[in-house]
Amino acid sequence: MTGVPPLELRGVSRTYGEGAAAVHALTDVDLTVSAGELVAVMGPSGSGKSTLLTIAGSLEEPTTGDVLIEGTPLSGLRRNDRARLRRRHIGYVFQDFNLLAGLTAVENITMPLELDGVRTRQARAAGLKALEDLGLADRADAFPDELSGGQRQRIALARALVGERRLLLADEPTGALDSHSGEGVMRLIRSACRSGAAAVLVTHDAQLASWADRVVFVRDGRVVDSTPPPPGPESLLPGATGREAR
Amino acid sequence: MSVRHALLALLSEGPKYGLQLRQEFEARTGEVWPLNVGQVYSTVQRLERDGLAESDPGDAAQPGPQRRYRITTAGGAELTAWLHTPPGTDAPPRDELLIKVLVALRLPEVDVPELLQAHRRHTIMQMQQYTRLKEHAGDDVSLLLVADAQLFRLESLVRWLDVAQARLRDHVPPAPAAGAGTTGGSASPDDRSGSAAPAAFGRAER
Amino acid sequence: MAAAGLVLEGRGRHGGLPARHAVVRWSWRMLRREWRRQVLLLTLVACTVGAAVCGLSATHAYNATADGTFGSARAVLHMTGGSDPARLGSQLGAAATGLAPDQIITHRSVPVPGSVATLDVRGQDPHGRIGSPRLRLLDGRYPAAGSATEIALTPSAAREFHARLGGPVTLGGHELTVVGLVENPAKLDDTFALAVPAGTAATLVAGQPATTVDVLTDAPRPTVQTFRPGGDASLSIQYRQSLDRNANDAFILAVATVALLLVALVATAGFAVVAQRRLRQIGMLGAMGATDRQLRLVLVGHGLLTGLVGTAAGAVLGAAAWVPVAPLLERPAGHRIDRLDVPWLFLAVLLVVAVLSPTAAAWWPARAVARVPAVQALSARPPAPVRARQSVAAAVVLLAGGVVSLVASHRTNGLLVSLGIVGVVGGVLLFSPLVVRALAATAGRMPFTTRLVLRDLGRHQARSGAALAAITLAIGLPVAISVLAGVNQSTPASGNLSAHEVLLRTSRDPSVVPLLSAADMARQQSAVDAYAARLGATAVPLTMAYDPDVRPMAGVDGKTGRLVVDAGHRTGSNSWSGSSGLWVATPATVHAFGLDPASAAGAALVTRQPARLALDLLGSASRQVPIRTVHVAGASAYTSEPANFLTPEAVAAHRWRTAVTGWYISAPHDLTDAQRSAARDMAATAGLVSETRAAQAGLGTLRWASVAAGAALALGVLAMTVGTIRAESADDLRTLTATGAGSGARRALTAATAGALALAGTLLGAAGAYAVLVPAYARDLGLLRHVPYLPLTTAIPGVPLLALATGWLIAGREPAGIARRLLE
Repeated sequence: MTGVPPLELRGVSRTYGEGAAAVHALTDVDLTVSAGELVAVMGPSGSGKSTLLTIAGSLEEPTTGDVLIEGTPLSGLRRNDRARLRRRHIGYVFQDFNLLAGLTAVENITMPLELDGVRTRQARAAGLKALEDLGLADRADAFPDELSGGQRQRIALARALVGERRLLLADEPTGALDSHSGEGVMRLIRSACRSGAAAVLVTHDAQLASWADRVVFVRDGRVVDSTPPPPGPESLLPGATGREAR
Repeated sequence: MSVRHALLALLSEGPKYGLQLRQEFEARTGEVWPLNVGQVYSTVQRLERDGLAESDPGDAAQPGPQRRYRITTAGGAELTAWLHTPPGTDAPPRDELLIKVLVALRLPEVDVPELLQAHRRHTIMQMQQYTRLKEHAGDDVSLLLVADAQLFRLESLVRWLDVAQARLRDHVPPAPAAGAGTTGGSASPDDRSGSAAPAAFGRAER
Repeated sequence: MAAAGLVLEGRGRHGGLPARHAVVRWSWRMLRREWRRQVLLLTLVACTVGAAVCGLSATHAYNATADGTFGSARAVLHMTGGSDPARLGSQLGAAATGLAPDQIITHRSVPVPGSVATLDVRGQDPHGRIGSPRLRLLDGRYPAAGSATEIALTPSAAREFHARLGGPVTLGGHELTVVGLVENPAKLDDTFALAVPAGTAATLVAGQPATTVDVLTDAPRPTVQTFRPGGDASLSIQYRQSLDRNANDAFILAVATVALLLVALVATAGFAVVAQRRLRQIGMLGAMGATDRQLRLVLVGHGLLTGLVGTAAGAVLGAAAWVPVAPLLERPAGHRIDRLDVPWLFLAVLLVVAVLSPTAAAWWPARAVARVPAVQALSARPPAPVRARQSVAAAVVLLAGGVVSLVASHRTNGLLVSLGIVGVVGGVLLFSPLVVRALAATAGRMPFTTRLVLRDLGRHQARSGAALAAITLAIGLPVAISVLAGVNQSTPASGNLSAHEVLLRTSRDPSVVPLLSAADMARQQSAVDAYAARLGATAVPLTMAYDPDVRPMAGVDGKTGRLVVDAGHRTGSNSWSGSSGLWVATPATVHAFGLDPASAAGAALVTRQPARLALDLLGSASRQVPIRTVHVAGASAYTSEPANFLTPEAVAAHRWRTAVTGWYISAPHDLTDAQRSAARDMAATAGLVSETRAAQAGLGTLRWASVAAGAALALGVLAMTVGTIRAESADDLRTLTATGAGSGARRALTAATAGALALAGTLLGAAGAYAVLVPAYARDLGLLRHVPYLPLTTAIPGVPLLALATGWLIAGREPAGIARRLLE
């Protein structure tokens, strides 16, 4: 799969409404996210960054342009095929309301697998493994309302990554958390990327964005700027601090 | 950052040589604030002068690096008092970014949003570095605390940049008035940014 | 190409069984979590199913089987022997040898003193297999075989003859001993006396010769056929029909299905709210990669589970109700009821329908919610509510079609009636979005809370329309039932007499009346007057005319008397069919039966019967008199109520004489059993015969039961809708509370929602009920004059006020989780 980027946006535009009332949520956006890369999309409210995420995740269709998931253009796919693509290849994490009430932690994690036809027992094994990795094995049968916010987001993340999924889309995933719990979630995302997942993180929070390998700045529906791939931590050492980015 | 009190804190753990003081200082602060040897000695000598630290009597003849220092009772009291004193807030540090933006507002040829974005990008890149540092810090608590402190400081800059950009967008002064302000000298004394600027400069340069 | 394979490879597109399992599991958990919110719907489903199960069993059991006549036989041969005992004996002998397996039941009639009725004295072997379903011993023992002195009576016969177990009874002049009490369990109103014959072919009944014989036989039909010689009127064969009960069960099943559809309508409104509440989670599921079908399954599964739980509870409820109801039903049904004799097949169909209808009800909201784009669903921002489609044209067409077919049906053509009802109901229901819109249009001039409520109702027409439709149907049903009940009360249905009437005659034979002395007549008159006074009524003397030229003759009861003048229509060259009596139109009868003497001027005969048959006067010496007949309105369906009257002018013209031959008493209320019995006793003492309403099934009870069931259903629907609406406005309530609205505002909001919907639904429902009834009774609009004020006033100001009050009462509590939205 090396060489085929997990996510590629080509000239994506999205317009709501028509004529004078038309709102251009996104204009001609190009974005490629490679395997193992964490890209943060930063911008103020209403800049179109969330629309970018929903289009990238096939929840919405671009007015023009195309989205390629692992090289497959979404434009040719029917609704059900896109749904299947989502449950096999894309994991979503939102700010809140990520978990289905009524399902236990482990059942929430296994839901995408089961939707895809994996037998309950197999899926449960995979879910328990994921919970163990999170250090939440003892909370497997707890319902969402019995979990803390940080635990809930970590479980949502586990669900987004369960199975063979390699593209993680997160919309302000720590927005409802305090900084410390938020950092725990970001560390999980980083480690997912280190093991090969591609991730797109939409946020207006600079601290969150600073976890990314690359930060893309969006303003008024356009990509206005982005940071180059980062230098290592050694750049903080004396003599390197003054180095200009460009 | 008070090097003086940081060194006192190191001495409170036990007698230390000058060179050791420098190494430990850098280690404790995540090598964020490099110190040169001269800085260490001048500070230690001032501590000795003020009676907060003392060197071993036998070492008095030795050159700086070989001298061993220990904290005095007065030094311990000073350290405790310092730890409990809130950091000075009345005199803000000189804010170069603010000055630059204020200057840019006066210069018609500068694209201010572009300038703000450049600073934002640069700040975020700095933040990325600190975050990376944090990521690789393991359980080095002091390093994590230093990185956090830097991240929050830098984040506040980004947020200030965001607000500045939003304010400039919403409250762009009428173009002719802005032009008159820059070309006609002090023709508009009631211009808020114009009147705020000298005060800011004054504070910054104090 | 590898990319295309990426999507299309592997497991089925919809994830197969595990996916369905996972989705339904989630539905189940949500149902369990939110059972309080679902409890109204579940209760409604359970109650409807319970009522349907119990009702279906009851109707099935209520309908008599042929067992009361046939026993277990397939055919019964009635033999009269043409009143020739010898011929009867030979007929019986032939049948008994050729029709095995068979059982012979012999009959003889004896008069009941003081009544027009006769008692059937029956000879039946109590141990005969075929006849056993129509005979059961209640007390004592069966008479000894061949005994001419022992007899068993049914309790009704014992009452009529004032006999008791172990005591004597005189039947047809022969005194016998009552040794047992028996009944026909399949026909409780079968009044008879039982004797046991000595041998299988004995034609003696309690020592007297039998007049008719029934042969119950299980022999194959062709064999039975050979015993029916062409044109022999003395032998008739009846074959058992078995389809009648199924037709009735199917009708009840249809009614139950309509009720369940109503529940489904309510459920649709309920599920629309559930869908709204689950929107974010469904969006989340969609983002997770659930297909549209899986998303639909969330709600459809919810519906299915609701159906399963509700139906299971309903089945238990229905069975629990059936056990105590069954014995209560025996008396009105007129036969013993076996609790296990229920229509299992129809019950199974009913339960399947009951499970499926909430499932179907969930389909529409499920489809709508699966179509909401995931992004909008995730933000819990439902798409802008769509206006209900312009249904006015369809509503008008349906309504018009329904009215036309109802008018054309004359209430007799079943197909047209059904079509008409469906059309009108459908049309009225389609009007509900229009009414919602009209309600919303008045919002601008209302106070704040009412305005908010009306706006909301108008914005979510799909939801409020369904709720309104449900209330409309729920109110319309009981209103229609009570109007019909009123109509049925005013139109004499059938039978010999109405339940409040007593007819007394001086002879058992309707055409020969005895001429009595003045003293006897005075004695009779005073006995009748005393009885009438006890009923709080007056006795109207009925007079008949006779031709003094005709010689006195013997009547069927053997007493000598005068042949009375009768009216009849010619059925052959020398034969006439007589009426049940021709009464002289005296001033008293003119007044009692509302005849108009002016319209009868010059006519000989005034009749209330339909103008179909030409009537002749019979019973005069000249045998046949050409007459002028006047038909007047007010036809009575009661066969024994006086209908034909001879004008005094005609009596005078023919120089006939008149005599009081009976009395007509119309009591101000229905007669009790004791009063009927008293009439019989009085008649027996005074040498009269009495006639009262022959025992009829307790339809009144059933009617009231159906009104009560309809009202209960309406209240259930209303409670459900108020509950639904309350859940619907929870968000508004939360916001209002957060902005500082007190309990008053909250109460007003909920109460206004409930009240507005209930008012609109009640008006529409009442209008709909009359929209069905008026065309159906287009020919007899007068019958609808009997407005059921009590049910209507209960419905129109009552139901909305109840809704208002309920909304006010339940909305006072501060909504939970104002600060923290419930995690859903």
